[in-house]
Amino acid sequence: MIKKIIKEPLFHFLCLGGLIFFISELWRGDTQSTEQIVVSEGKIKHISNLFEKTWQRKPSSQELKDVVQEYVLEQAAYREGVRLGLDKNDIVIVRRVHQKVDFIAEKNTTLPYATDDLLAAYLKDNADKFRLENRLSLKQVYFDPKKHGNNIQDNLTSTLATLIKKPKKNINELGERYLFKPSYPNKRLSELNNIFGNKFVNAIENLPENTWQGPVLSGFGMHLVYIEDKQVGELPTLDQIHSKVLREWQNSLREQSHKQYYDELLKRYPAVIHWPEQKTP
Amino acid sequence: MLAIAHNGNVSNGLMFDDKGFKSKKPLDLDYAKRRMRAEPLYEVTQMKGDGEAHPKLSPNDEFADFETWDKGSFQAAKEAGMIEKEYAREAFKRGLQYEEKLGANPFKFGLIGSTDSHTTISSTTADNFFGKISQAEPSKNKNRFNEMVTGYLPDPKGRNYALYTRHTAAAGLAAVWARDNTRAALFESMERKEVYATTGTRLKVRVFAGWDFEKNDINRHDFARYGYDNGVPMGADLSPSKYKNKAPKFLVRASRDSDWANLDRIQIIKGWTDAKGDAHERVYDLAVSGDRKIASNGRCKTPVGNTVNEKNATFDNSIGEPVLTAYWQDPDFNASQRAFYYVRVLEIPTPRWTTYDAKFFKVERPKDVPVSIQERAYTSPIWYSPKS
Repeated sequence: MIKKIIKEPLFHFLCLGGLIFFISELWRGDTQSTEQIVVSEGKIKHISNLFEKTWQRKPSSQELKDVVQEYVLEQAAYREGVRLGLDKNDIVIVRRVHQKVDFIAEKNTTLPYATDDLLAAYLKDNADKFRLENRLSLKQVYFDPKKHGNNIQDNLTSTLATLIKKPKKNINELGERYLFKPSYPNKRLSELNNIFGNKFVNAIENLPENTWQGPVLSGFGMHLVYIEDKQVGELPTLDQIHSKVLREWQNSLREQSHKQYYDELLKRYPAVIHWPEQKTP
Repeated sequence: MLAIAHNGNVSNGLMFDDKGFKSKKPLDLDYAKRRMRAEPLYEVTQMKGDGEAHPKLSPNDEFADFETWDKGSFQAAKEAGMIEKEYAREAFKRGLQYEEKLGANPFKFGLIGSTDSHTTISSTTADNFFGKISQAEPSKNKNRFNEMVTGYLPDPKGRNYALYTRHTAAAGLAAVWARDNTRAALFESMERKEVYATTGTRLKVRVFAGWDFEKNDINRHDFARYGYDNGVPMGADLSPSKYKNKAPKFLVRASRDSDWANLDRIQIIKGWTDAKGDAHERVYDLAVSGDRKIASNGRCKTPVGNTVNEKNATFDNSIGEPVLTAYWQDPDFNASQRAFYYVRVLEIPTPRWTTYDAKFFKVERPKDVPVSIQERAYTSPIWYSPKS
């Protein structure tokens, strides 16, 4: 019986396996029991600096001992945790590592020196990104529907007729003022939007210039309007917005580099995604 | 330099306490002066509730229960006596009493609103609300309504004082009246308290108090210049009159957010102290929309109505007015009594953000918040002190 067992290949396999396991346990046990946490002078300086940044002063010698001890405990816990495999399948760690890889991806290519020629070309190719908002000057007379009641149409028509005849007439005393002004010189459309609302700005945006017209409806009531100095948002020169163009240009290179890095990466880690089958209705 | 304190409605009685935060000593003249030098403004409304008035403290004010958060702070549930030290209106009243006693008012602050969002997104309207924290961003996700905001630390007595993201308000904004849109001009306005709070919409309100205003001044085309030349704006002190037995007069103009809801009414909230030193408050309606009438007691108890359709999350401006104006003289003025006056403007009811969410994401609307709310603005008060 014993002879039979000794001849059995499974027995040889188990013996050999056991031996390997025994030796490896011995080996591992040794290093595990005496892994040192070395805190160098440089590391202590670093820890001390961190303390100083938080508290705006140097740590006392007791405080320094405490934070160094804290660091030692953290290292011990970290190493033990990694040994136990606690870093595996942890979404927080996955995200942190992903973030670190992102840094690599973005620093993959060193940025070339930003010459004015390069920036000018970038500005030209991406003009819409840098164009200023459209502007116009607005004069307006507001009619409160509550105040004018059924006469509002008549009052609007007669005031408009007067204004068309005498465009330079002082409008300060016409209509109702409330919290509106008679004149809004050189305003961005978004500013007018905040004052009169979306509907009103959409309505006046494409009206002809240099003539009294209306009524234009807003959420508040009716307005007679006079538009002048329409300015299409111009493209600033490179001198005027140099730092902004530089920032956007650098960012575009970073994004490019990021994309390239991930394109390469996905060649090495091709994704196999098992989408659930679409149910056809 | 100035500091603006966060909302006191979840401070568990600390915001307008009768003793110093650190010293634990009763407020004194030095404290009152220091506090008003450092903290001229106060955040009266924000996502974690509204801090103007509490229904328990102002039982006759039917608009006092707005986005009320009165369960507790971050650490513990509320105890009796805390609410009295948390709401702006009550603090203004107690401030008058302190002024009488100490010679300075520790609670003479202006009012602003802010979001207190932790998302870097300052969205304050109900139809575009991005939530207080990123976990509560717009989505079907349960966190949108059910993430706990206060109450996750165990109360020492085991009470439940939790409030959730569905209870947060889509609020608020700080409005500043300034000559120029520059940092310097805005800061100076904030220092002199010429500011007001809104609960999230961009409604506009302006008030002047003076002794010589007349009814027709409300229609003046040079309203602002006239107001400054002959009176004082929100946040200021109204000096005693040169006339005997004359009450102060107020000019108020308000207009709605250009892309939002009409206005329901303009009100003045008055607080004062009597000869015995007791503090009182009273709400007056100054202007109301439509054909509604203000009774001789100064109130209009008829609600403006409600056009909100819950299912479709819509409202319309068939009720209310885009602009309201008012001339008002205090009918109960007593020149020997300290007083404050601030303006409250109410919008018509509009869907609360949770109602918009329910429609947009096709989720169930939480039932412990209202379908519609009346957004509003609170101006900084104008204070009156008799000649000393």
